[in-house]
Amino acid sequence: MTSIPAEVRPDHVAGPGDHAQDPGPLRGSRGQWGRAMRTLLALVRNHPVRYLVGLGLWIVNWVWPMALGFIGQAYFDLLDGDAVTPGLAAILAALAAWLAVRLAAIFVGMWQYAGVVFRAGATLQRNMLAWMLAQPGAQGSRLSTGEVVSRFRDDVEHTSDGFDGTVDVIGAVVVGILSFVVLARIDPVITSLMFVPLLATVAIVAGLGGRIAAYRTAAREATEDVTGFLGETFHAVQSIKVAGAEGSMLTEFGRRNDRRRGLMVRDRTLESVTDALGMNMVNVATGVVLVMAAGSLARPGGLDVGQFALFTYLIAHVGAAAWHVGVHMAQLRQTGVSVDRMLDLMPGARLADLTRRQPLEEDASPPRATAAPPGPAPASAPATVSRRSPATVSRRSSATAPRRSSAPGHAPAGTPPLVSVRGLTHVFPGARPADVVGAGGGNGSAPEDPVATPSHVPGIRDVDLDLHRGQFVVVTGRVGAGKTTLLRTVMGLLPAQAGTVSWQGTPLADPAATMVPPRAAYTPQVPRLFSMSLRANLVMGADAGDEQVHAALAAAAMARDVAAMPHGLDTLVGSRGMRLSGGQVQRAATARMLVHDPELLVIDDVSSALDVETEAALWDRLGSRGTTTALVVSHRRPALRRADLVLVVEEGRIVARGTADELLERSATFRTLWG
Amino acid sequence: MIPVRAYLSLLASHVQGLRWRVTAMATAVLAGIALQLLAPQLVKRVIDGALAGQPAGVLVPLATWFVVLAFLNQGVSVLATWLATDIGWRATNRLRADLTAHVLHLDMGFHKRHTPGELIERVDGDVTALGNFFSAMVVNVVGNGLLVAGIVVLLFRESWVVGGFVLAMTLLLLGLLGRLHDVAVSWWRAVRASSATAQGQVGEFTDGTEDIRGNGAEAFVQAQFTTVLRQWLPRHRRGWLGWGIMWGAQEAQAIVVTIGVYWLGARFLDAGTMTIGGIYLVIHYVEMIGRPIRQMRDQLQDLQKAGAAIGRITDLQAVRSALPEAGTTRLPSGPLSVTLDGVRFAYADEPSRPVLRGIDLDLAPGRVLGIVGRTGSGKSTLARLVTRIHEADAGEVRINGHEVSDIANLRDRIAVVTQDVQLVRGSVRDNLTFHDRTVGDDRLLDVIATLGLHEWFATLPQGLDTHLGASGLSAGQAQLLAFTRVFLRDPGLVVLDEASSRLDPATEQLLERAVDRLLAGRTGIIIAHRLHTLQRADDILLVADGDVVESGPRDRLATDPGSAFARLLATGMEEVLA
Repeated sequence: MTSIPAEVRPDHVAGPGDHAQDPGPLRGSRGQWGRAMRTLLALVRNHPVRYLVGLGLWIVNWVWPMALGFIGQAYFDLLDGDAVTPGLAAILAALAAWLAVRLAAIFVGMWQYAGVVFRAGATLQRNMLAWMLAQPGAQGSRLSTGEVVSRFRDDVEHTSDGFDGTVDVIGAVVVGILSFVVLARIDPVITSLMFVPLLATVAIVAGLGGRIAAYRTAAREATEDVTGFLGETFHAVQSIKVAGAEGSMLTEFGRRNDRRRGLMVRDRTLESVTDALGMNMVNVATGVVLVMAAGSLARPGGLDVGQFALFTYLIAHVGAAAWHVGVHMAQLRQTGVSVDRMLDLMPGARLADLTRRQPLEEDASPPRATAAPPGPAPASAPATVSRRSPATVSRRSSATAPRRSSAPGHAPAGTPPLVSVRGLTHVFPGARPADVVGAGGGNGSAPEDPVATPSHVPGIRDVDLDLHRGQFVVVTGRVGAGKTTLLRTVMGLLPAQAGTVSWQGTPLADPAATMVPPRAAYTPQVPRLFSMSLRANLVMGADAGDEQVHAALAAAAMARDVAAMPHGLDTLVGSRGMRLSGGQVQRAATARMLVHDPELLVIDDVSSALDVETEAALWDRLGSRGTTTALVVSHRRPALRRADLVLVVEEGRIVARGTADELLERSATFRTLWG
Repeated sequence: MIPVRAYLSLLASHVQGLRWRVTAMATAVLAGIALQLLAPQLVKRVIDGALAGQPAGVLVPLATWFVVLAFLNQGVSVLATWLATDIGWRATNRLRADLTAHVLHLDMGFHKRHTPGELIERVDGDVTALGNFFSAMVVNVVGNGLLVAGIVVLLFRESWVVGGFVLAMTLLLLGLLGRLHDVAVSWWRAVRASSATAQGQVGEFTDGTEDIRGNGAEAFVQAQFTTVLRQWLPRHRRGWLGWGIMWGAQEAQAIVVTIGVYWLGARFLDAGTMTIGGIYLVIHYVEMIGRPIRQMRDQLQDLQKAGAAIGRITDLQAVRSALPEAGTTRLPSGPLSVTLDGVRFAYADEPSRPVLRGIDLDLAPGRVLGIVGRTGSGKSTLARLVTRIHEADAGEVRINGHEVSDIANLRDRIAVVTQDVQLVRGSVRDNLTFHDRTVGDDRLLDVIATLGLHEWFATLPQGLDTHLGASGLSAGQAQLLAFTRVFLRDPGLVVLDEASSRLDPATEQLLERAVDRLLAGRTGIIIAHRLHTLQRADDILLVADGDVVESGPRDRLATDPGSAFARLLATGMEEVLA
């Protein structure tokens, strides 16, 4: 749709910064070009009819202006006294008729094709999201959240632009060919000569496009360097003040500003070379015609004025077309880079996974199934088959299983434990440098977050653990001992490198698929709520009525907070909604687990958000539910005292297990932790 | 409506010294306009000349000039852009530097109220809006204005009627586009809002994958995202249609003008007042005039946006530091004495809750004071008053007998190590010197050796060039770095807010040694979080709720069984203070 005059294109009005582009390094541009083409083709195939209609409309939008050239020709023929030409009234009527068609084609073309392009972008976004969500939940992306969002926004936009441009390229090529044919029939020599500068436009613009993209990256990096430096300066302002270092920091700021200016000027200048080229090459071509025509206008059998007018008109139009083709050729490389960046977000994915058809229509994506998710998948059988296996055990179908058939901590003989873990091992593949404490003064060292501080977390090695129905099991240990990793690996939120997790005796091929409600639910150490109503955050698509929600809130000691909220359960929370305190988020997340009424509750350390009393009350209330099995991380006495079993983790291994009293006698590590 | 004057005055002070560049740019812009106006005149002369039967020997050189002009125009327009961009960036970089210096000198209260992100936006974001506008205004508003004026004059030269008609229709289009533009922008804003919602969701979901998978909510989350996309689609279509309508309006106006010019041209040709070449010229100019006019209109809108930026920039410049300028007294080298006399202080955002309620203190040169008290008792605030990060509401803070506000070189002579060491991205060297390139590596290595940190230094993979963004530092290591920073400046008073987090024994030992060296021959104030640190102190100050509970030489307090300090030593810090 880029045949809109540049000045009215949205990019011009959207304001600076809205369209961040990141072409990335220009590596393997040939492969990128191929990937770009395959991506666009796959997107076309997703909606072939819609695309072809759009293409037709845009070819009309490109070709129809040629008619204006013929009307102009007729007008100058009329002025020149050519007898066969239609009268002035007919010419003016033709102009009006031309306008009517033109407006219809613009409006319909804009509206229809905008939808086609949007669907292409939406497909990419949904495929990326689905893939991301299928990864182990606590693995953490290699990319920062900002980088992920940038792929959803900027790279999708670049790919959409590339997709958008295909109709312009095709339209422009059609115009070029038709114009060539028309003009060559009048004068093949002049036509051939004037097409030389126009084809040069395509080549130069397409060629410069890559360099422009590279320059732009450099310029933007310089900008990030400057703003990053400013941010750090303001962040560390107290240190700078007490060190009296304002002067040296400002000098450095000046250096970085200078560098940025150089790169900005280079970028902008090259861009202006390209921008000016379109118009000026048309002028060169017009000049070529003018030189040739100067001799022949007066000569009988040479060009007449009408033909000259047609020539100059079509030159301008074909010139614009050539410029667009050049721009879009450069854009395709950009699209290729963006495709690579999007695939970067989808470990192990192929191109087809990115472009898989995802219809937007209402009935096309059913809401989450309200039935219980499939039962545990044995490790030995292929997951697809076993998910449907009749061996499904969900709490609703397992009424036969005794709930609390014996004293806590003592499994009834013959009944497999609810969860059994053998030889479980997860070690971190490597540090993720960007997150290590240090840069930018962002020293908010998150408590025991292995993704954030890999160097301090050894992972877990060779962990055995049996969790019986009704047991309250507490994992404890020093900061960085591997407690969180243990919970996450049991939940399948981190991949195990060795060992098994079994559910009621069945080893699980993919623990993450089984360890979800109604069997298990999990609250991370720093839980997150999303920008939706509180109700949606708690229910998360499950089939739960308000009664169930309120019961869960009461159990999580959250009822009074909700009563104080402006819209109760309908209050918008999350980053765009009402700000909840850390404790409220923690309790809401606990309620979120309880809404699903799972058999197993897995809760990471709540101490960062709840004080001792609230935490103790939480365990009391969970305990009073009677039927719940819980695996929690805590280092506080109320939890440890209440525990049927305490596991002491050190350096990623369970070094001691037993009740608190037993451990106080046996374990030196535990005594230190007890304080 | 458009704050051109404010804009120019803001910029004028920053364009000085760029005179030849500005002159060259003006020349390039004017030359470009002349070239654009001249080219169609050549076409007219070729057509009329050919129709009048002039020989090719006269016409071909004219036509060749047309080609030459096209190349010249390319060169001139690139030159103008280059100069305008360069001038714009030079001028705005000066403005950025001035603003940053200004902000850096503002008091900490200001920095507490404004996040770094906000300040970046105000120093860089607003200035960039201004800078974009500068490059655009000179080339587009002034340049296009002159171009339009030139075209109108030349049209009037061909025919008063045609000139008047084109001018009227152009103004009509401007008015129409102005209205349509507002509609289109509001539609487009809705598109942006949908986009922001979707991006916000993606960000939240990315951060919350653990919550989502741990509660089996993948399908739910995807459905939520799809719902947003579904609401976005019709807005997206309408947004694009909005631009289509503006485009259509331009096409319609162009056709109306063409119809009028065709009709007038035919009549004037009959009347003999215009030639065919003249009519061609008029049509050419009519096509030319639309583009600069549309660009100008957009630029004027940007100018209004720049107006908002100018307002924010001048507001920022007008902010005065809450701390008055320092006096002229200079502190000598060597250890300093510290005196506090009935010092009271409350933070500006909580004036009713004083943090310090009348503190007296007398610290002789060369002695080390240990301050003990629970979190929130005002210990760190004391340190901030001594370094004049804040000023006392009542009472006096004196160094060597001078009021802190009278001392010119206060921060050269007093060093502070806080427990959260603020690092900047860059090498170890950058972090030690704050980018001061006059500090040589020899000096740095010397200090590192003096502090007994060579073993730690040897563990840095690239020595002074080790990049801190990538390797990361533990809290203890960050403190080591801060010690080195301080030592470089050889202060007479060292204020040390001890790291409260648990350190590994090796780092702990390094720190101990470094603190010994740091305090040798200096006055010291240690805000202590651990008991054994206090063994280093000559004097003890015990504070609670902003008041002094107890103070005096450590030996005396420690041996007095009735003192709170002795109780503290006996029962352990945590039990008493926590």
